[in-house]
Amino acid sequence: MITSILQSPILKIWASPEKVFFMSYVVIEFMVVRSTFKFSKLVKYNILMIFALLMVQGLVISYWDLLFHRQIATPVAKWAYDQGAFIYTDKQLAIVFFLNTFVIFFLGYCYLYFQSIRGKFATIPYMEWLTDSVAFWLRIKTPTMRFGKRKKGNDEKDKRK
Amino acid sequence: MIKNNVSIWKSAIRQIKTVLKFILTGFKNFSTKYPNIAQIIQLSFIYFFAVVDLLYAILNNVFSLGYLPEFLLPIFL
Repeated sequence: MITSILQSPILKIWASPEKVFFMSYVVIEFMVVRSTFKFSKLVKYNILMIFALLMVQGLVISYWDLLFHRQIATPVAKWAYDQGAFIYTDKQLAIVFFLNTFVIFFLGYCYLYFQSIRGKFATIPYMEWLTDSVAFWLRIKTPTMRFGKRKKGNDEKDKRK
Repeated sequence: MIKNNVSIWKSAIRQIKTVLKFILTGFKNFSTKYPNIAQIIQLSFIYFFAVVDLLYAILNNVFSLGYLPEFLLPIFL
């Protein structure tokens, strides 16, 4: 199974960011906005949720690259002798980071999958900012949303009426 | 000759359309009869692609370190 996934040329499309960007646009347009395939709200919710999580996943990995995968420029003399710049990475730390990222996101996807199969709109603890945002675009109201929260002044005006 | 080619092209398109219609109506009938099962199949596809994307995102970076995870050794060796 893993062999066929890793070596499949069709699935490699998902590896390059520009194609993913275009495909996500197509998916959102036809599956969520225009509702061409008439998916249920639960499916639409999960599609948007996965897109949001994929962005978070990409962000985590790119911040790793930015902060820890350092390119250290060697002195000009070395560069002149064609030793060039080299990339310094703590390999052990990198492997631990990538393994943890994989495990956390994999468990997250499994949790969301099983919740959605049970017909529930999955919520992630301490991540209401994400789930509420997804729910907002599908016009779903959640208890943690601050929909229609009134200012104190308005409440007093209502009481006077 | 040109007319003949056009008619062949038109008939081919018609045939493709009928095949597509057959598949689409099949899907529609299935999803109206068994909405829950159709929903589970759709969700499985979506999450399968999410896991594939995660695998590629992680493995691309791991391979760029010049490291091959041990659980992948039987696949590549």
